[in-house]
Amino acid sequence: MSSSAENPTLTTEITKPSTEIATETAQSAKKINLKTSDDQIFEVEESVAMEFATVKSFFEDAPSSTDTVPLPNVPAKPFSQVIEFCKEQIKFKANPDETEKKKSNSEFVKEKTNEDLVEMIPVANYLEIKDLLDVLNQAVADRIQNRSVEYVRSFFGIDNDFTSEEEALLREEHAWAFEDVDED
Amino acid sequence: MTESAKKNRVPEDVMMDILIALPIKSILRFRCLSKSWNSLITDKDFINAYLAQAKPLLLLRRWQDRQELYSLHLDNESLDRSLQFQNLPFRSEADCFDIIGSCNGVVCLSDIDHHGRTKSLILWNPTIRKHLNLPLPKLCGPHSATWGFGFDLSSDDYRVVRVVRQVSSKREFPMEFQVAFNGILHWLVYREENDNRRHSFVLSFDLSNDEFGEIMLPQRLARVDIFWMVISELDDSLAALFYRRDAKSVDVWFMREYGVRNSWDRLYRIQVDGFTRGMVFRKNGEILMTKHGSDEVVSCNPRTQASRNFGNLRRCDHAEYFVQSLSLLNESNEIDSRGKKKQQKGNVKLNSRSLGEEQVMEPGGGAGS
Repeated sequence: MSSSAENPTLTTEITKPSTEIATETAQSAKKINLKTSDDQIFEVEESVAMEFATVKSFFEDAPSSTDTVPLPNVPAKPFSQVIEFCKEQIKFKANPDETEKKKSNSEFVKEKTNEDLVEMIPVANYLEIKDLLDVLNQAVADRIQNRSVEYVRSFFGIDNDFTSEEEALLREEHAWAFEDVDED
Repeated sequence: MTESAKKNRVPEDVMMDILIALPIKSILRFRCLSKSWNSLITDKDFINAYLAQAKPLLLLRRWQDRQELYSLHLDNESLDRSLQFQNLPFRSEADCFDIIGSCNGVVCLSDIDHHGRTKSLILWNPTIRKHLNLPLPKLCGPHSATWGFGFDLSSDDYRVVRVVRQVSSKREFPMEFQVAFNGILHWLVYREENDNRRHSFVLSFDLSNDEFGEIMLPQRLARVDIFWMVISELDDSLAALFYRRDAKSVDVWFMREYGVRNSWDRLYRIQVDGFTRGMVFRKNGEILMTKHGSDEVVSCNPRTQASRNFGNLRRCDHAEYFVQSLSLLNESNEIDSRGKKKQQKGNVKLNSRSLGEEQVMEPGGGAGS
């Protein structure tokens, strides 16, 4: 994340002179309002909001904007979990510790349901939070790796558009890949 | 969220990132998920992306009960086995297949009978358990041939190249194919000169421009019997391993500048216990060899002369770096009534060179015809 020094876009609401290099406390003092697709407004600290590349570029394009930032593709439920992740990430930015970060990431995904993960992916993708996407992709890969086709279809909510003949042919082509699959 | 709202919410480029994190067995199974997943998996971009991130492993061929077994090993201190491939899904008419080489996760095997005739040429991707029988060139005369194998970036396809010795030509004798890297194949060849002395060199074939070349060996090696020599790749250039007659040492030469004869340098002399054959230069600087007799795998550090024997890896005659890939997934392996592969998009070109002649023959215009 670039510091506020590079990007002194403090708005008139802030009483501090905008040229001053913002400190951690100054950053955390500022809040940004984000509105989800289901019309919920989240007030998040600027440092967290700047983790969302999409939001960051919104402020870069309109530095003095004081409006609530609309997030038309982001529903509230996964968004709150995304915020939870980013708050944790920020701690490691100030104090990098790869082992602790990995531990924290794996704990984050461990307690999430399959649905949570699948819902967070498009949000992380839309907000361009690369770290979170990497964590989610790996978590999903771990969960589906040894699973049956039927399980994974319901995992992602995929409609099977193959005819039964087409599917049978594909299963036959790689019959060995269907052996030793976990029970659903 | 309702089921219908959940549908297709995961964007395609993210689906690709999830798939790439999966083992190939899962990927093949998930072709069945839906048409869009199937087309994503079989897309060339995905196959290339998977290949690009695949971790290099060591492919070993070992022998057990007269069967050839192929296994993958981690390139770590103990060469831990990561995967045992299924037995070959095809049979050799001779005792065993010759491994011509491998690239992008595809092994090229030839079946050569006791008369030196090539009975079959096979491309095999053991990871996806798929193989293709290549049609043999129409011109298969009574001369010995040696094959080479590589991937040509410019045509985005595999190429199998044949070097033929013509009885009428100059007295040049191609030996086993050695190594391919950066789109250039390399064989060891010796030439008998008028005084009956032998002169050895490396024959190269550049897949990007279909040109053969000759690369000189260091002066000291040009006259030795190439039976005792192996050419390998080290840091994008050539290395020559030569077993000295005393059977107690192996000399390692390295061509610091590819193609420049003056840049050959002897890097090391390694003390070995009996005749030992080099197989591959490892990323950690060690050389993987097999010991004559037990054919036990030995990893030797040429700097410290320390070597480690792998008693659990006996009867090994081949090792090379290998990546697991989806290559050949889209190739059709239908065989028509004449026993030849039908024309397909990604056909494998065959090139031949008769030693003594400079031009390249492309029999039948490629393998697909």
